[in-house]
Amino acid sequence: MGTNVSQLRGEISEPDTVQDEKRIEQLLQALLKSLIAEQKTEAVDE
Amino acid sequence: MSKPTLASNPKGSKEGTSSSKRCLVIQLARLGDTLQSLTALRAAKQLYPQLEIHFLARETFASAAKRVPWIEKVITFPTQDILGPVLHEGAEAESMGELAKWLAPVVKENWDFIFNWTYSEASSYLTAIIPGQVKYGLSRREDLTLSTLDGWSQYICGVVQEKTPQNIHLTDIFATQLLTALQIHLGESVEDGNVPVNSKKFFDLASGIHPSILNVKKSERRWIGIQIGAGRGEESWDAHHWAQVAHYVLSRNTDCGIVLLGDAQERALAQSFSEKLNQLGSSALHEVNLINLVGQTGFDDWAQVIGSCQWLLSCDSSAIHLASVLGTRVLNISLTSNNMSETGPYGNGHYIISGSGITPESVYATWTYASSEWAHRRQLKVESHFSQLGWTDKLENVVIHRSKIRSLESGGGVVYEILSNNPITIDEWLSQVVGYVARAWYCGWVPEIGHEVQRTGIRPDLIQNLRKVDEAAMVLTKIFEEGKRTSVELQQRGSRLVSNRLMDVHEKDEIQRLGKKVGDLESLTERMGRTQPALQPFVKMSRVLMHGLDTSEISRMGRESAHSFMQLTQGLSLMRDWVKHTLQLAKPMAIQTSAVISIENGREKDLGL
Repeated sequence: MGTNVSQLRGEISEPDTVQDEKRIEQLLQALLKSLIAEQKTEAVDE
Repeated sequence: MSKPTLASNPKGSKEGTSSSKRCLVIQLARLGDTLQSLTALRAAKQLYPQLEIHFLARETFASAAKRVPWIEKVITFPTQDILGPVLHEGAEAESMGELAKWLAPVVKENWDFIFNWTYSEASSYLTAIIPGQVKYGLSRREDLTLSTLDGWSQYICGVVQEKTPQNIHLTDIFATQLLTALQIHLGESVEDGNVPVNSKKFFDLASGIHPSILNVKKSERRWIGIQIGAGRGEESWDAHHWAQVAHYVLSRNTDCGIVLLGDAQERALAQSFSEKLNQLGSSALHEVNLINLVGQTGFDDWAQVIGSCQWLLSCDSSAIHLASVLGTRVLNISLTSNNMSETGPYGNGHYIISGSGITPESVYATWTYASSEWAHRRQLKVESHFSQLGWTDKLENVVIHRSKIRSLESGGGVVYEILSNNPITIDEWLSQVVGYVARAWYCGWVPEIGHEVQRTGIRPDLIQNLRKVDEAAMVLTKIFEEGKRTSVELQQRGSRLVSNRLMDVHEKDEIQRLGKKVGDLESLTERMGRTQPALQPFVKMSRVLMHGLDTSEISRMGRESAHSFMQLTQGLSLMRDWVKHTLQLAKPMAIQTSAVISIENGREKDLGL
């Protein structure tokens, strides 16, 4: 994994865009993690 | 080209109509992917007018989607706003805040469908975060592991992203996935689906911004667009080669003009092109018939020019997809090993020239062959055409393809037929087989086996290769069958358990033994893939299917893996049918005696006796 459809076609992003992509991935991962944790806490509270 | 009638949905009506279905498409890749996605969405919108499509794209590549009148809303991903704090101040919490702020309205919407067509790690988190009734593409489970939500997405991960040869175009994959989902959840469509999706009016463009564009639009001249650059350096062609092609076009076709296109970074290429062109011929002639718009067009101008051209000549760039949606014919100069079957120009009558022997002469000859189809009706062989131009040698190490939309009876979708007399390589053969297997897996219907294999393209080395493929496929079939038996046993044992955690020692040992056996079979599968590369598609799909099991419950795991092994066995069986068919096709055929002309008689005739 780690490639998207553009990259398959050879439209490889510039290095800074690849880094951007990684940073966005980390942020989204952290966000999802916190949302799941929040949901679990809510479920326990209920 | 007929313009489809689309149901109107007034902009700004946030809730839509009661029957409308709200669909979010996540496409965070580049412009080429966006254009291919829009083609697939256009087909869906024609068939399901109640679909209210919202398109999520990166700010940089959102321009095309913003000009599509039937897209309800384009949501842009503000990369810089979100990453700004991290990049400049290292403030991750602030970035998270920006991200959450941007996501809040998207999350609040009540999505009936979410299609993630980005197929990246980052986009999978986004799909998981945004709530939706039905989701397709990549997402994340609660434990954050990657989840492929449907068969076509498994195929993209296991085959397409692994660069395995396969011949289904990305537009067709998107469209088929989308239409299958809509048929399942919304029922039959309103039309028969035969209305063309490409059209000069695909976009709602601002008009006449650049004065030169009016020349292109209004003049009687036949304009040929040349997109001078490409997505990557190695995909770009030498500016001097382009100048040579332009010189042939302008000096031999006085009714033609050339529009040079490219972005601001390609101005140096354009300069080099102009200098070479002036060296080659009359600069006065070129001044009248050449318009250089490199670095001067935004999306609207660019689309208007390409839409007004009769042909677009381009390497592998997003321009070929733009021309495709606008119905402008494309000659694609494919310099790298990009799989044209997946990402070539979409539609009827586009040409692709590939191979190590591409020259300005072979490109010009291909274009003249293509643009005079109306006269020779493709009864003239490409070889004869090159010969007439005195360039027979320019066909060496060059392959010429022509695109065609198949009839539904032949399987539908775009196919690239080889026009030049080239032998079928094992990769080309494999790409047809893998595409066929995918249709069998996900469409449930396939045309006749091997109906696109040309007997004349089958050479001894392919035959030799296919015999080896068949032997290896037979072994892999046995491995998969054993996998299925083991999985069924696992399912049965699992279903007898009271709990997945509490079990007696004997049961535990048995389940561990079966689990180890499945692991051993996976290792054997990997080894088979290394021994016989043609089996790689099945090995990679096996990896995606087995590692993507959506459960930790033993009984369900057994059932799902048994189903996966069955799917793989069915695919291998189809591959072996293809081998059988191809080998049969290669066998010498008896010729009817009535069709045989006596050599003696022939000679007599020649001598006029």
